[in-house]
Amino acid sequence: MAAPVAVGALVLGACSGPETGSEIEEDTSVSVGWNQPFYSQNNLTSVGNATTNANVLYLTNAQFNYYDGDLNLVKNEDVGTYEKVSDDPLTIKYTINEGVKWSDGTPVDAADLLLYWGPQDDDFDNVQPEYDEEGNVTNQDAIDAGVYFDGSSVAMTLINEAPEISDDGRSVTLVYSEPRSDWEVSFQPSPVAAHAVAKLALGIDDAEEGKQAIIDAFSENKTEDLSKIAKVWNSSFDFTSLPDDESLYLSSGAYVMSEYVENQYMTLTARDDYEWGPKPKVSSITIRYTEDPLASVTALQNGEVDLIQPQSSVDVIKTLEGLDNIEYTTAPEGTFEHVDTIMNNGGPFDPATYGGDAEKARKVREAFLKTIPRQEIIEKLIKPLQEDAETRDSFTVVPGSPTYDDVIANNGSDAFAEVDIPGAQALLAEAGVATPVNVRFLYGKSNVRRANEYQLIAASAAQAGFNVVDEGDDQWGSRLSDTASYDASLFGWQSTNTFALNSEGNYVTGGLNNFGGYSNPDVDAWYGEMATAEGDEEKELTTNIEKQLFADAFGVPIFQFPGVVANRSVLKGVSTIPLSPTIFWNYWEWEISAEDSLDAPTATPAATEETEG
Amino acid sequence: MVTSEKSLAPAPAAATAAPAAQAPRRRSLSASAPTLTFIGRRLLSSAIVLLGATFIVYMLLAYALDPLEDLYASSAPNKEQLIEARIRALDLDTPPVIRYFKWLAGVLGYLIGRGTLGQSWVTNQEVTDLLASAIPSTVQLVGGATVLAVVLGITVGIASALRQYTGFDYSVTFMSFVLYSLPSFWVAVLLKLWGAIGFNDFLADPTLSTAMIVFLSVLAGLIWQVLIGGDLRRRLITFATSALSTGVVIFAVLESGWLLDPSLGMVGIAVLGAGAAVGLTAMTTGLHNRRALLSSLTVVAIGVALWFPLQYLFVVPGFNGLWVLGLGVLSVVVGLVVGRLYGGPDYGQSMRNAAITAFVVAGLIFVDRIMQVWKPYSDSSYINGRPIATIGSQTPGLNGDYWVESLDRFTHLILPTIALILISFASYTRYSRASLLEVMNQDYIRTARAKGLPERVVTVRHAFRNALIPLATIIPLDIAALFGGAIITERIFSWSGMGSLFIHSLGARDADPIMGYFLVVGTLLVLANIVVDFVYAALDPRIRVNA
Amino acid sequence: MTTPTPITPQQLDGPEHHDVVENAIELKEVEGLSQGRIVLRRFLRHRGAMASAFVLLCVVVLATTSIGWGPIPGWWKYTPTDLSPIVNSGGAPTLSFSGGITIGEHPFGQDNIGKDVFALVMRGTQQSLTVMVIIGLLASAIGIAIGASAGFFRGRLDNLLMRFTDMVITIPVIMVGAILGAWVGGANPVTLALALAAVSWTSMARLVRGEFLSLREREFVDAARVAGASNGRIMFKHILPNAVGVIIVNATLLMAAAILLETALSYLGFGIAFPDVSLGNLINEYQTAFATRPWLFWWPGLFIVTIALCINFIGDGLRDAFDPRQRRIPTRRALARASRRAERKSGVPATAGA
Repeated sequence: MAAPVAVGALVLGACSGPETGSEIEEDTSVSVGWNQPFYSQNNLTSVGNATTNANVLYLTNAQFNYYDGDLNLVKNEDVGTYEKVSDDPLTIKYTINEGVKWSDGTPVDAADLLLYWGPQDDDFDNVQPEYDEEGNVTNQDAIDAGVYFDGSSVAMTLINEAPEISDDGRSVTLVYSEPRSDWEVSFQPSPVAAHAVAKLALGIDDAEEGKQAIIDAFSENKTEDLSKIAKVWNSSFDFTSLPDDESLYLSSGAYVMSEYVENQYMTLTARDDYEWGPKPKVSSITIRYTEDPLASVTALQNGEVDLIQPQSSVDVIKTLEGLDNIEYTTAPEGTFEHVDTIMNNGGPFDPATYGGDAEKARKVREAFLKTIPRQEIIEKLIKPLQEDAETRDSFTVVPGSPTYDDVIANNGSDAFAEVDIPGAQALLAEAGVATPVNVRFLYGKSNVRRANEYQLIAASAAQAGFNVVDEGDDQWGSRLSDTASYDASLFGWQSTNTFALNSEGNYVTGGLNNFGGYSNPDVDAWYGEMATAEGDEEKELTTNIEKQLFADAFGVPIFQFPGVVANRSVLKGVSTIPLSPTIFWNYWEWEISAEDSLDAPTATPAATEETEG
Repeated sequence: MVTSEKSLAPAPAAATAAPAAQAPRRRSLSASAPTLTFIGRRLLSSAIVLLGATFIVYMLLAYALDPLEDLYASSAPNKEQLIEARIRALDLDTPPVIRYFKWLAGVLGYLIGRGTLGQSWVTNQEVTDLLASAIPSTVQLVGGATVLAVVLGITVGIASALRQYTGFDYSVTFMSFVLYSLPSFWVAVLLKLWGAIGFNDFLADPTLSTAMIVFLSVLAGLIWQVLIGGDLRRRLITFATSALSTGVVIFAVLESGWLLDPSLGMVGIAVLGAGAAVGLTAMTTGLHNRRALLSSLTVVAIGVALWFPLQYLFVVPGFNGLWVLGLGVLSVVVGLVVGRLYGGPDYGQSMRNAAITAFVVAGLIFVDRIMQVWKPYSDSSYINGRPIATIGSQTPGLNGDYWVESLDRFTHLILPTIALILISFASYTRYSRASLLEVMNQDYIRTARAKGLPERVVTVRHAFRNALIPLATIIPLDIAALFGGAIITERIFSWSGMGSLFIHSLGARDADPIMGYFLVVGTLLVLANIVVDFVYAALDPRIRVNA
Repeated sequence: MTTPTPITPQQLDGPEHHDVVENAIELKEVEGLSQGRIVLRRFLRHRGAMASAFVLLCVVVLATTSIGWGPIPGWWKYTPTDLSPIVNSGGAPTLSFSGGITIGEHPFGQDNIGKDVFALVMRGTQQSLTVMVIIGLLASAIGIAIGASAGFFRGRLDNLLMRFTDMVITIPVIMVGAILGAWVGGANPVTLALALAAVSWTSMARLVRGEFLSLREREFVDAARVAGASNGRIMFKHILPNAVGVIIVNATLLMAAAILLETALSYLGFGIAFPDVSLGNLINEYQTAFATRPWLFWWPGLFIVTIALCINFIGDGLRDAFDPRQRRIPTRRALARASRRAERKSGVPATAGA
């Protein structure tokens, strides 16, 4: 036995020469897997507005407030304060604290606040391209000279007067021309630094001068400067690898970008001077980009990433279950699945089909919705992914948010809690329509879960006398507004904040996302009141609206998308919320334990040591 | 086709695709006037082909991709404006035909020095930048895999042809058909589970049960006896020797902890180098050519002697890939010089053998040096003792010298490379086997045998060369296709090359990057087609150059 | 075409002698048979090809009869769309080999909403076979038409057709799937196959052109022309039959590639769309089930590999059978016997028939 070992050692062992010199610097770092690479520091433009950018900016930008684990909006008063000065007109005063600095040392102040408002206020855009018959732009010169910011916000457009800046230059006062109940999430410090924009657009190197130039440009509406600023603001902050110019990725928050390799990973390093907010415990965060959902699970298993939020599936969950040293939690995401009916296409749910008999159409709609097997869908498709999954019973409120339980208790959703085939048949009989009723059903065909839902719905509805016609289509998105081609649809709405006003466009008469042509004067009125409502008043209005929607058999919400978050056990403090920035929301609580590096085999077999020297 | 994933290429090249050239002699291609006219015509017609193809693709994209799709389901209050802004930005009001000519004008702008390939509307990046980052990464991945697949495929194919209708031949045929029938993502997923997770787990506790060692030894014995063949007695001897030596090697490797801290060392380099020298000489000139053998062995000795001083050179600050390249070239030069110094009537052979051997030894020294950083690398907290990677092309944040970085590259490249080799090498095997069999049946081979030439000379000098001619005509096409990337492999291993660029842009309904991708790949394919025509004409005198 | 000559180690000591002996056997075997009979005979002798043909036949019969296909009624109790209660935990297969074969309710298992995997795999096999056959036939037909015209008429037409072929070669196949998705709302097997056939005929066209270029110079073509045969007649009656070997072999390879192509497209999300079923999209849909519910992944995979493998082997067998210079290696005993006979007969080696 000894002989082969000795031979092996002779042949295989190296006479060591000089020190290898190949040393690897150590660091505490958390690797997070994400699917799409970061591409813009400015997520206010229509191009840059994407989750992947928002995640990074959450780590690198100071914000007045954030959503906590229970979806309460928490003020971060270390960054600055805001207070409502007046209700009519709605006036808010924002103040940045002293000592809040960009990563190049320049203070964050009023100019950086102003830069959040100006570009998103559509009133500054003074040109629109014009075209001749052949589609060529005819006013190219005007566009070059004019101002066009590729960003737009309803709230910011309501601010008509340039916000007043305090003498110390750290406060701005916003005056809204109309009330906005969601004002609290409508304003933050700009993701791009004002002095950086000034440097790039106007060639002003001095930070203070630059800030003043930006303020002047917006408050005095200097078209020439604004035109240059717009061009820089629109596209100069887009990048997919670390730019040479540091001012393109200035940070005002806890972390600052230190490395970005295109399509591979981005490393963010904690700022030493950061003290305006919860201080992170991890010295660097690396976001690794992988598109394949399965690849991220394998990478987690192989220790290449510490934290992932993969697309949930039965098998992802089962795989995670079987892994040592991996923890996972299932939790709902921000999107909810629902079925809508169409009332403006001459189909079975349109009063026009029955000679304008709205009640008859309503009964047919209600009958159809009563057959939708919401529980069965939860049991078969969602529970395997999230054990405590329940149906979503609200059109407008995110489950888990403070008002959800009160709203669903009174909104009439219990009428659709269980499949009611006899009830549906009775309604159809009452309405006096001939069965089977054809219902053309639109859904995303290659989405397996939706295809499965469709099959369950079709089977159930058939029992009550509906013939659900498969209109599954990958182009469902573009067909939503073409209501002539379908009678009911199955898709998801995503929530970006917890304010009920967010859903206005879905349900008011002529709303942008009200594809089915639903119209109810009460609902419209309640939404009108909602603009100023807060607290219990908002809850009451929400309940009223939802009661009406259920009573009118507008549709049914089904479930909140189930999500899963998995991390290696060495990483502690992971949590997630249904809204952006999901898993990143509490990055300051992340902690990676010291034994991370001890998994490696440490014992060096004797044979190799013998030959050294 | 435009991708090197065999499963996406509907045209299987295996075994039958191109008529085998049967010419025993090469004919030089002189650049006479008709040839120049031919080139001119071919280039012109190819340009038209490319123009037509870009037009078709552009129109298909314009009709297939709807850039507004994500906005339809948006709940943004300013949706209408967003839609309008995008229509304006992308010029969607203009008919696609006119947009095509605008795009074309941008491309042709390069002729006068101010062209553009457009930009991605999703991320605002210039298409040229996208291509500039995707091409090198794809070439790195697919290039290495293609070279290895060609070399391995041809070697196995030739071996299989020389042993036609033996157990080995049947096994190779069967294996290549199985590989040929496997969906590529299967291979990739399996490799990840077994090659990365499995192997890394094994490294954490690198021991094998005795039964496992015995099993592996017997398996190796079986394979070797099939490979070497011969009568029963010879097979038994082969089996016994190889099984025994495999067992001993496995045992030694495991017991010495070589897997955790591998190296070749002077002895390893000397043994392997000498083996290479003898093997190479036996194959090319025959061992009786003492000068060739001695010159090869001399360079091995030089390499071993230089091993120790080189260790000091390797840690010079600023040591990088250029140094390695320089040293590689230097080794070849040394080999040539040594071969020349041995002189003799045909010193060319000695020079060639010595140069190849020198290169091999240089490679061994390089590998040995890389192995030395294996232990610090896998012990580092970035790696956690799990060196084989499943995603990306490098470990983020790893700060190491040239050797650490090379090793890191290697641990990321190994799995996707194996996946690509497995799925593409089957066709080269089938191809070279068929080609060699064809050649071996030719009259001039009979003639060579009849002259009394040794079988080694007949196969190596007469058969191999001609058998490789038809392969020379498919390789340019494969090289062009290489730039198209490997869509599935890149996706599964999160490798950001051309394949990812293409599929990602397609998913994002982003037409300009796709057109940029297509322009690169299409141009190369069209050029490769011209090259193939010329190679044909140059190698096979029966084909006339007239268009 | 290739001529796999048997070159065995034994041959090295006396190649000429063995060659002659083999030829003697070969010649005796094929004496008095037509070309077609010879091909058939050679094919039937190719064990790999025959076994593959048998397996493939079984697969086809199983797929068509089990769940029925068009007018053919199925004998299996479930259809691919039936939802039935989940029998084993997680839907594990009921097929078991411990203590005799038990088939059970769901031999291949069930998916998460209770669909029968056996029925799904059978449906997928039908679809994949449909795709394969359509691509094989249609692409061959287009390829032959274009290749034959180019090779036969040469000159300008040849140039035009070949440049057209080059153009089609450069179009990425995946785009075809994506475009189908946009136009017809997701591909069904027939449209997918038609679209793929429209871009995958190029290798066939080049090959047929090559064959025609060389065959049209042959004496029998001149003879036919002198006899007053029309171009069409020369092309289809005289030249085409001589190229049929190349064509059939290439067509089989085309089919094997087609089935993998469909799989790859489905994997990337551009193939046959769910809930329509093909083997490719079954694997794709259940790829995450690889480690946890292997039956969802391995059964469709097994069928893909089996079909592709069979087709490849059949192609190999056909190639060997069609190659007129192909010789089968005789067993050592047959060789010895024939050698004795040949020596007894003449003493002078017969001339080789190649």
